[in-house]
This record gives sequence, structure tokens and C-alpha cells, in this order.
Amino acid sequence: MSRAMLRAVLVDDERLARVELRRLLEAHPEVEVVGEAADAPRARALLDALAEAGTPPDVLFLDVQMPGETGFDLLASLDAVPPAVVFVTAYDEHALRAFEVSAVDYLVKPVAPARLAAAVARLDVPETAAPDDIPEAAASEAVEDAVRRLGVDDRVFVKDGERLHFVRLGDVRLFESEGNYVRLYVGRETPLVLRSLNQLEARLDPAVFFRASRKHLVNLARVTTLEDWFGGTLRAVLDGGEAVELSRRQAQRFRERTSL
Amino acid sequence: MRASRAYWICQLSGWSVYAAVNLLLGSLSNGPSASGLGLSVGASAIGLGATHAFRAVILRLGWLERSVAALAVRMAAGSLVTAVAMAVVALAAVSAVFAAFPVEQDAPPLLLSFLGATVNWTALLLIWSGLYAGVHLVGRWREAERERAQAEAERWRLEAVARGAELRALQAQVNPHFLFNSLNTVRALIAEDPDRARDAVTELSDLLRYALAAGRRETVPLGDEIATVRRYLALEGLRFEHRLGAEVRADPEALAAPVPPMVVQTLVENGIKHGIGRTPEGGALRVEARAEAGGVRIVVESPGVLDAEAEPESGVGLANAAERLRRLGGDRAALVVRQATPNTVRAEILVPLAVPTDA
Repeated sequence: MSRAMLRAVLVDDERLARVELRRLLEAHPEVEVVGEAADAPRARALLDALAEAGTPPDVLFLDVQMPGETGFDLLASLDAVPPAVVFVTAYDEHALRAFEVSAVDYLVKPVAPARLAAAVARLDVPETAAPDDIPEAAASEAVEDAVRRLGVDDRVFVKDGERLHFVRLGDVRLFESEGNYVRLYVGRETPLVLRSLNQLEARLDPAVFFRASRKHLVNLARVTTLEDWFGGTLRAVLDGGEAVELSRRQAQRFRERTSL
Repeated sequence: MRASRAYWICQLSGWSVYAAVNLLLGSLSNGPSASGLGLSVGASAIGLGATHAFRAVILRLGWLERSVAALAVRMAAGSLVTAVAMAVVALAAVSAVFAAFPVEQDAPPLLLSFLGATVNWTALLLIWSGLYAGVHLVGRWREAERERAQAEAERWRLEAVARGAELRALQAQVNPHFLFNSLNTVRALIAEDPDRARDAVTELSDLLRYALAAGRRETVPLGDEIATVRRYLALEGLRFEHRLGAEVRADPEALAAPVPPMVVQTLVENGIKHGIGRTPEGGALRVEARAEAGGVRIVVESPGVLDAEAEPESGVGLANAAERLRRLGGDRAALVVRQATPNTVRAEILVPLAVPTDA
């Protein structure tokens, strides 16, 4: 049984650095480089195009220091980051140490072949990343637009001041609109992402993430109690202790959906 | 030991003078008498004994370590208590003498004598306390002054050491980001263009050698610095390819001017890091060295916008460059970085030709 191919995208502002990494990856036939980009805007366009074609990459090899937007900026701007991200950097240990979770791999330039082999070996793609393995959530509701809805196992990248996180969407209890930002409630952290709640809602799986009100989007899997509230509204208490009121209209919609 | 001897000299001479004054005053009013002599010597003896005991208490209780105010209050209270005790002792002694050698004259009323003696002794002890504490406070103040001066000297020395080390480290430093990116470029070039890879290795070696030597030299001829800048630009050109345009021009007459090593290089590096390295489309960097009346003007222009937020890192390099220029040329050397046009940053160095000899 042959191992599934890993689709890789390389992002580095230096052509020769991309050439070198591509050549190093030739030693790993299970990794197929499906595209490369020299900066963040081009990388975004490439990732969008791949996602639209139904062939999103499994792994992103990403330079941190790039002109214009950095690698971190690129990740923070993506609706969902690829299942695996390997940072490739000349000298940015301090930047990578900013990661809260060590669920990230990084290579230093010039990349040592043995070190690359170790990183690739660790890349056994998570189940959810396979294109035909559609998350239960996405399948449960008809999705009109062509864009794949993001499920609980998709990850977003959050750059909260100096701290960097990969956040699994299923771990987010609550999205709260805050001006131009959305605050995520995840674990004990409440980082902000530069996104509107409408934008987020449009990408998230509606079977899991329910718009409670103008200000809130809740993860239904994380609701512990639901009680009748004043004037026909509902009040949801999340497992993190947050209480969110469903507006009358949304409470109505919620009842319709759940009372089969 | 010496303090103790000084103490005894002061005590004995002080109380001797006191006895002599008492004797003199007594003789003037009552005429010389054996009892007058006895009273004077006796009073001084009691004073000496009492103050010595008082001193033991002061030392035992550590009053001298206290603040001036606390010491003053305690000395005053101590003086009063000691004076009462001395008055008691003195009156007891006088009474004993009068009892042993009865004289015709009436003994003065006891209470009045006691009060008078207490007031006298208190005044005397306050003077003694003032002198005793004064001597110690002056000593304490001088010790503190000495310690402060020593601490200050040590601080200056450490600062000088630290600054020297910092200078050496900074001068010898090659931006690691540049170094590893260059090595990565060379690795890629080995397959793509072996000739250019070979050249790049040579250029990188020359650059590293120059940077390492920079820490040991106060100045280098501008020509050497310009050659290094060219090497650096050639290496960065390999990395940035078409994104980096560079133009280096230097008047032949300017090439001999002494400049601190890595100063122009620092400006060029900043120009690339904050200008060309930040824009995806890149840009052109211009280096020009002109001989002018009395000095050499070096201009480094790069696309970009001066960014206050980016200061911490480049600020160190610039401050270091400015400091080394100042050492070289005093007030006449200058380093100015400014926004020349809305999208051009210009760094200018002015190096005076005649190096002052007082450095």
C-alpha cells in the first residue's frame, strides 16, 4: 500500500531559497511541490486557487521574514491554515519561540537534508486533511457556495501581540464581535483576530457554529445548558462559563432547527 | 585601638580642663583652699566615670548606628538620666565629706543642691554628648563619602568595560540573518551556477575577514570600506536578484580618508533591511563618497520610510556608528539619517579629513 502523496506549497521571497528547498524535497518522492510563491499576496492567491480546485495543500513550507507581510502575517490572514506548517528560516529562533504550543516544526537555512527528512517523516497528514474525507459537520448541511466550509478540525492562526497560536476551531467556544476584530474564547485564552463576525460565519460550518446574536457566534458542541430567557429569548451557557443570550429571532430559528 | 586612645586623650584632657576651671573659679571667689581642690578634682573624677559608663551604654545599645535624629534624642535622654545619677553620687559624696569633717558653715538645703547639681551636670553632659556624637557623625559621614566615591569609580569602570566589549562585539558582528541566508544562497548556486557559487564563497570569506578585523582597528581607509560594501551588495544581489539595484560611486581622492570600519556597511545593511528587504518589488540603493573641502561626505540612499517602530535593532547599529564617528572626528564628524523624499531614506556621514590628535 503506497503512502498518500503530500501536496506541498513553498513560500519564500528568495528564488534560490525556493530552488534549494525544491531540490532537497526531491529526495522525498512522497512530497509533491504543487506550487510556490514569493510573497504573502501571491501565496494567498495560490492557496485560494488550490482550495477552489479541491486540492488544498497538506503542508506549507513557509519563510518567516519576507518583504511586506511576514510568514506570520500570511498565516493570520488565512481563513484556515493548511494542516501542517513548517517554518523555514535563516535565523528567527526568537520569533518561533513565541509559539505557545510546540505543535509546529521549523527548519533553519541552509536546510540540512537529515533535518528535512525528520520533518517530512513527522508530516503524516492528519486524517481530516484528505480531500475526500469531508468532516461530518460539512456534510450535515447543504452548502450552497463552492467554498468548503470550515469544520471543527480546521485550524486558524492567531497572532495575539507577541504570542502565536494555532487554534483548532472545535476548541473555540465562542466568537465575539469586537469592532473590526473578533475575540475567540479558547481554553483560558481570548485572542483577537482581524476578521468580521459575518466573514467568519460565512466560512464556518453552520451546523456547529450558530449565530446567537449580532455580537456572538457560539460553538453548539460547547453549550452546557440552554434556558428560556425573558421575552422568548434563549440563554446559552458555555462550558467555559460564558453566558450568551440568543436574540429573539435567532432563538426562534434555533427552536425551529432543533425541534425537528 | 587608635580611636580608643584618642578617646582617652580627649576624656582626660577635657575633664582636667574642667577641674582646672572649677579650681580657678573657686579660688577667685573663696580663695585657694584644700576643699576647693578636692571638690574640683572630685567633680571631674565623677564626670569622667559617669561619661565613660554612659559611653559603654551608647556602644552596647548601638546608638551610633542610628539616624542623626534618633541618636540626638537618645543622647539627650541619656544625658538627663546620667546627670541625675551623677547628682545623687556627687551629693552623697559631699554629704559624706561634710559628715566626716564637720565645718561651721551650714550645709545648703538638700533638694536645692540636688536640683542645681542635676541642671549643671545635664548641661555638662549635653555638651559632652554633642562633642562625642559629633566626632562620630563626622567619621561616619566621611566613611559614607568614601564608599560612595568608590562605588562611583567602580560603576564608571564597569561601564567602560561594558562599552568596550559591546563595541567589539558589534564591530565583529555580521548579521546572522544575512550570513545564513547567504550560505543558503551559495548552497543553491552550487548546482545552478558553480562559478557564481565559487565567487560568492570568496566574497563572503573576504567580508567575514574584514568584519572580524574591524574589532581590532580604529579606522580603515574609506577605500577598504567601499570594497566591503561592494562585496556585501554583490552577495545581497545574489539573494534579492532583480529586486536589488545598487550603485556605488566614490571619488578617488576620498578613498584614503580614515573611517571607522563597518560604518558605511552598517548604513547599507540598514538600507537593505528596512528598505529593499521590505518591499516585494525591491528598489535601488545608492552609495556615494565625495571629497569636499575639509572632509569626505558619504551618502547612502535607499527606498523606504523611516520607521520609528523599527528603531530598536537598527538604532543600536546607528548609535554605535555615530559613537565611533564621534570618537574619530569629535564634533566635526556627523551622522544624519533622514527622510530625503517621501520614499527615500538618506543617511549621510561627514568625516573630517584632519584627524584630531587629542583622541
